[in-house]
Amino acid sequence: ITTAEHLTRTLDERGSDAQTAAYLLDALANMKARVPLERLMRFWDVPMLRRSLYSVLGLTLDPGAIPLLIDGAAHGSKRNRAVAIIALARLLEHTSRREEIGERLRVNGTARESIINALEDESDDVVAAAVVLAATLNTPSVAPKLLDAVACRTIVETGMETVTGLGGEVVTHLIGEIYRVGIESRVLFLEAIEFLGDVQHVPDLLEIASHSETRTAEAAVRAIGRIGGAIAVSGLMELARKSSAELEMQVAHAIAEIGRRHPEPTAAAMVEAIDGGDVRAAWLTVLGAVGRPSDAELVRRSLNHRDSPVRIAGYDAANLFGESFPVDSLIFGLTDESSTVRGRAARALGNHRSQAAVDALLAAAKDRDSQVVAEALRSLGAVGGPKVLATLRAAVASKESVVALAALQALFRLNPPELREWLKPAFEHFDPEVVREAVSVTVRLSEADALPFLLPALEHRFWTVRRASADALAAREARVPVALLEARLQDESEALVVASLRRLEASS
Amino acid sequence: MSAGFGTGRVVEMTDEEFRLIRDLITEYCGIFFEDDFKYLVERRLQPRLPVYGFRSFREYYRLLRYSDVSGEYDEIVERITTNETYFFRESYQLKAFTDEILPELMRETDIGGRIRIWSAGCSTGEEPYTVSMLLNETPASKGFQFNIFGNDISRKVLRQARSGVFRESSFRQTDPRYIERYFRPEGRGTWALNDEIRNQVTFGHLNLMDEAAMGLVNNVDVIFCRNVIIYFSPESRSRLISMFHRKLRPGGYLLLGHSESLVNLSTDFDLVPLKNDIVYRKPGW
Repeated sequence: ITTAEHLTRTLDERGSDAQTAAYLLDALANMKARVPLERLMRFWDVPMLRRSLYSVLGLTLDPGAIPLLIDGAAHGSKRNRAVAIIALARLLEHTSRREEIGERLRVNGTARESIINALEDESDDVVAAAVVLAATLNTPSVAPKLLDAVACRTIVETGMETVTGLGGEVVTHLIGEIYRVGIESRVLFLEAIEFLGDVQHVPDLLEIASHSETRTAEAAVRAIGRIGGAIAVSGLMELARKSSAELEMQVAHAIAEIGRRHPEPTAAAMVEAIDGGDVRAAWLTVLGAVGRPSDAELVRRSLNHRDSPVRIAGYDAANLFGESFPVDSLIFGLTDESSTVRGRAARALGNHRSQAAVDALLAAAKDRDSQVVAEALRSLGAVGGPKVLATLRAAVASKESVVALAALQALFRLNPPELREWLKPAFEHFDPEVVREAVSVTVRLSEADALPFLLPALEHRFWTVRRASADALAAREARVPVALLEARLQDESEALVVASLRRLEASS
Repeated sequence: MSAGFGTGRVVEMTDEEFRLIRDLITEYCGIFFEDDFKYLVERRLQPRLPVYGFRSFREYYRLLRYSDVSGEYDEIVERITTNETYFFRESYQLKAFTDEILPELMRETDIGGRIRIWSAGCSTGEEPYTVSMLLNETPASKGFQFNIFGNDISRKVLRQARSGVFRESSFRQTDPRYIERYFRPEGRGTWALNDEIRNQVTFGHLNLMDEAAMGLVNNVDVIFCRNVIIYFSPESRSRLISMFHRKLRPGGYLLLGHSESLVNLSTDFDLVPLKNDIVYRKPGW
């Protein structure tokens, strides 16, 4: 018989002694034992056993325990009520009795009030339980209280899932209460609205975005981008014009999101603004995201703008237009005085396979700024060709980590026959992030070629490399010497690496 | 796609990315996130990815590691710091300050002398402004010069603090008579603090982990650092407390939040049981 069963039998036999019964019930609760309800009922009338009993009742998964636990949530000490609430929530999680629990709470004002009060408990476990129980009432007006209760706690995801489960009716209540709560809760409210709201809520969200501190404004803007229709674009554009640069950027992404759903009116609004002399990075970001071929010329003109943020947005937009964008305009970008602009131009050139583009990228791979070099190398990996390999090979050994990383990413795409040899300096690199990237590239090698890299990497000084190596070996179901694996498991202290080693153990 | 609650989470932050980014944040400002907060960090940093055209948090991690992006750390801090505060928070401790600590400080200071009060991690300013109001309500304080200094790592909350305009959520524990006396309604559910109280508080942008910047603050009589160290890693907490010890004058007080203590952190302070609260004090001269 199992230990749980043994303890349950002992409970049957020696439970008349309350102290013994308390110990046994606590032990059964700790081991999450499922004890039949009828064998627990004899303890119901022993007040000192209530708290221990509630925990076990929650594990019975027996609907008969519901009224008992609701009674427990309503009466007794604060601690006892908290335990009953947690037990009831566990029962709810594992049974399909949501409606029954909700109905019982609706008619039991004391229990309902106790659960609402538990939303302010210090313990995250109690609050999480109270949140899911309060949600069974199916009362949208309780949503603000639920989200406010989980803000700044580890249970924020539970709260979000619960509130979004209540449906779109909660949105009006969340908007109505938004200024009565702190910033953390406000942002959570808006994240829920982003998921549950619809176009009718856009005017309220615009109002919130226009008259709030930055974090709230950004969250409101993101929600509009998610739910807004084309009609929201003019309001967002107005907001962008009077916003800080950072909020303007978020507004641009929101309009771009609307633009993907409603391309014509959105792009037309941007073109009208630009033609009217209002040239902004935000409008170019949107034009790039929408990607109407007819707007390519407008974007090309923006590459000569006096302000570097506009040029950066222009090259980003050009990148999204792909191969159809005039390559000469991009090549000129590699001479820009701003390294960010040069980098974005190099990125956009990755769409072009012409000789002129490759030559320009090879020149950019010698730029004085390592970020520009990295962008150029990644683009060379995209365009390929025999001329690029020597550059990439040399870059793998670069002491500049960003350069070595980009070279590895490019080699991964091109997969040259000499890859195994060229990877060696990367595995000897001082920066673990480069070694980790090299581990990822070994997926291109045969098992015989990869193992000499991966097995030593299991003992690398940095945990991300050890983990990547274990994952790479597991993915190829490589045969790893048992002794090595056991030794690694014994020595490893990083939980994430242990998990990967376990997966490797299972696969090999 | 992440298995989150909604469609808003486009890019998932892996456990490894979370660990790496979290460690960079802790190194930068001391703030530490338990694994349970991954969702929050992922959600708050998500909007930064399209700004750089990134498709993964790995790229974002590399940006933080390899680029000269101190401004990006500011952006992170804005998004992930908890700015939850309100006027007259933890009133029993404020009572200990006005009824017991303040009279002692005034006894020890010559008339006309200076008393320095520091609100470390002041967020949107409710705490230092509360102190300013309390001093204004204490007639005996009139003969002294008070320096009230608030600092935070977030520029945005400091901007809001300096504006002196607050919403309803800041007044959840405020006696209406204080609202009537010190605030005027500004419309749209906001209230503006009167200039007299506002001008008594100086704000500064300081990272509590930045030893060099901390050189600006010295010889403090009272440090309020409530509900701040709970967000720090154990190592950062120790550094912070030892820095507070250096910044306080001998006999100066350290007031922590109700859920915070120096157990396992420091033995440099005396625990002082006052009538209204138990507080920490740097041993006197």
